[in-house]
Amino acid sequence: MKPIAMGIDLGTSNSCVSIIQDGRVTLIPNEWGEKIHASVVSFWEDGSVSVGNNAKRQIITNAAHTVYSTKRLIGRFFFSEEVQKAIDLMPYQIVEGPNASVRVAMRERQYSLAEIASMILKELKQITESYVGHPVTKAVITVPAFFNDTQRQATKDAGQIAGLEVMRILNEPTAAALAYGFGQNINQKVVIYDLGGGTFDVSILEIGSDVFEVLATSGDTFLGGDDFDEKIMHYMIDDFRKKHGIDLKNDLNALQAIKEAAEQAKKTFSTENEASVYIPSLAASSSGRRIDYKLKLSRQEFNKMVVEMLQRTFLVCDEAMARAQLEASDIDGVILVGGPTRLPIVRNAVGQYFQREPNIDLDPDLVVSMGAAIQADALLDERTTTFLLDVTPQTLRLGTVGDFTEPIIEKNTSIPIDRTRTFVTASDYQEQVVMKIYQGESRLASECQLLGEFSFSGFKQAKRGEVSIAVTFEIDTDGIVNVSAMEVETGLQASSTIRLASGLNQGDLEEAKARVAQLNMTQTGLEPEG
Amino acid sequence: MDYTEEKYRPVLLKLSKDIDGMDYFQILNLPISCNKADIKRQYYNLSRALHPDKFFQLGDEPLKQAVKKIYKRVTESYTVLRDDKKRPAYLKQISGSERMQHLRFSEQDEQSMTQQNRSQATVAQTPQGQKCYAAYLTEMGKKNLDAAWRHLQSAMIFETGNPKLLELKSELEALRKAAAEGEGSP
Repeated sequence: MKPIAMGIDLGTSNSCVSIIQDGRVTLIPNEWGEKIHASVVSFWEDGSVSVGNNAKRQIITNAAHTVYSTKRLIGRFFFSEEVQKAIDLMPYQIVEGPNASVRVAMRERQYSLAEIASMILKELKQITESYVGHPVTKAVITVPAFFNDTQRQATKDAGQIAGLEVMRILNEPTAAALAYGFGQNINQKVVIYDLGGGTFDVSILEIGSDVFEVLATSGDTFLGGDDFDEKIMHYMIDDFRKKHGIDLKNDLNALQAIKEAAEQAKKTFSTENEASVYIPSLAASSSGRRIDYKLKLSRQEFNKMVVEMLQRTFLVCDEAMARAQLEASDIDGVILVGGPTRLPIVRNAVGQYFQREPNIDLDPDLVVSMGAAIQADALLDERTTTFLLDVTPQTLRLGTVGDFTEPIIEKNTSIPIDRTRTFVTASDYQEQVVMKIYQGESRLASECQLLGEFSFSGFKQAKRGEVSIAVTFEIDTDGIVNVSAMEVETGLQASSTIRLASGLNQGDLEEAKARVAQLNMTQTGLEPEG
Repeated sequence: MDYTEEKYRPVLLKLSKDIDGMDYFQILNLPISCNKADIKRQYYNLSRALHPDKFFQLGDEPLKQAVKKIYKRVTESYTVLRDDKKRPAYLKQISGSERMQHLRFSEQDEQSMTQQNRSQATVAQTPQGQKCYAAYLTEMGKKNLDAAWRHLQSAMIFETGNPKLLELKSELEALRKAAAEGEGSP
């Protein structure tokens, strides 16, 4: 029997899993027939967890112990702006872990974000296994194209913790393009406009019968449908204060109810011109009387709230189009990805920008996981005739002196690729060479993301300037950075490549893997694997 | 041709070594006069033949490493030769007397940057000293010896007695002296 591999879209808000069976893409439903699974994990007092749509229903009743939107935090440092913002916004507890990493604290335990993501992956694995009736371990997992090395590595770690063999970390827009063009025998230049729950990506591809080349990609990992919800939330909080003189900002339960209502209202605007909000007993007045909240919000009002964010996405599109050296008239097709692209204001604006109606045949919620399944299947097949030629989204940089960096591999360079640079020892009998690696577009290190610090040793001891060390910086097909060093004279590989970043080491990974394997995942209707 | 077949194994292993002695035109098997369409076509052809995904399921690790190395060099060739600025610069580099050192492209300003890296952050020990030292390197890169001198002096205020800075100072003094003499002579 031909082996099966999963294509997993691990989203900020929702996740999907697909496989190829008998040459056709199948989106896998859970036992309730749901094909879209909430990226939510809820922790219970007895040590068990629920994952997915069941967990999402617990956001209100089990608010402090239910985690969601953690993809916004994965692979980031604790001190980063995004993490600090989440601490204010999220009802669950976010704490600092080793090396300025981010952890969530749940019922006296701390979990890395890779571990949280692994629980979602494990749920998807179980859904797949119960559908096909046998174990499945191989997977392709998608990430936003603009994700940096640390975010990709953390996603790969999550797969490993979940007991998966991650064959590839694939860019979401590239996956969507694959789902669009696979088996079509077309020759087109297409734009993928991917507005997800927490991130925005745009990729421009040239699609042939067998080769899919990414010409340019750009993105913003701080922009997504969650921000639309947030705009509505703030509007409602202001409105409530005006009407009732009560500030809800510190009332976690009320905020949770408002968040839910805001999301619902946003979804309503995909089809309706007006959304009615009714939240019974949202807060208590100073006299103790419970106050219900009622609001009628028009689509026009909503459009006004989000227009500025939409404009930001088009600045990102400008950049990608310039890089690909294309005009709107060169584009043969526009593909929308992500739930928020169902909104008429988004569709219309995208249509106007690219001067053509976006494709409506593909489901923006499902297309990424379908593309991932196609790529997973191609990797299983030695006679594959599907080749993805992707690019790196951000410039790889080396820290020099002071706060300065210099570019090693420019953004939008085709991958896999490597660059070798030769360094000479700076002091007599120097024992190690230390270098800091960054990703970003600024010459200043403080404006880029630190990926890690590498330390090489084990080379010849001699006077300064007499030892040459060739350092190779590689970006592999996952978009992940690898750094290695070799002594030029002897050709010997320098030893002890230490990597300091907010990631997990091998020991952490094994530990987490053992924990997650034992985890009691309840209310899924599935027994944990024996 | 299916390069995953066993009979091509020795060919690929040999190519992964020989490729270090080839320029980008040789790697893509194109004449120096080739146009952008040729470059793209050949990049696609080589991707079909040698993309590591095609070899993904093989258990033969040395072969996979060889293919990966070859393919990364194909990508590099494509990246440089399709670029309107890099291609002429590269052609000049490989046509010169130091051809063998320039088979892999590097930007001119990067070469001078590499000089800076010789001493990395290990020269100055304090943050202020490092800042002055960085400014010194920048000015040295522009051959502004006097400005470089001032920055080096400032660095030494923060790090009196740093032997490396002292050493650089005497080097720079010699350079300035030579420059001054050069100006004075007819």
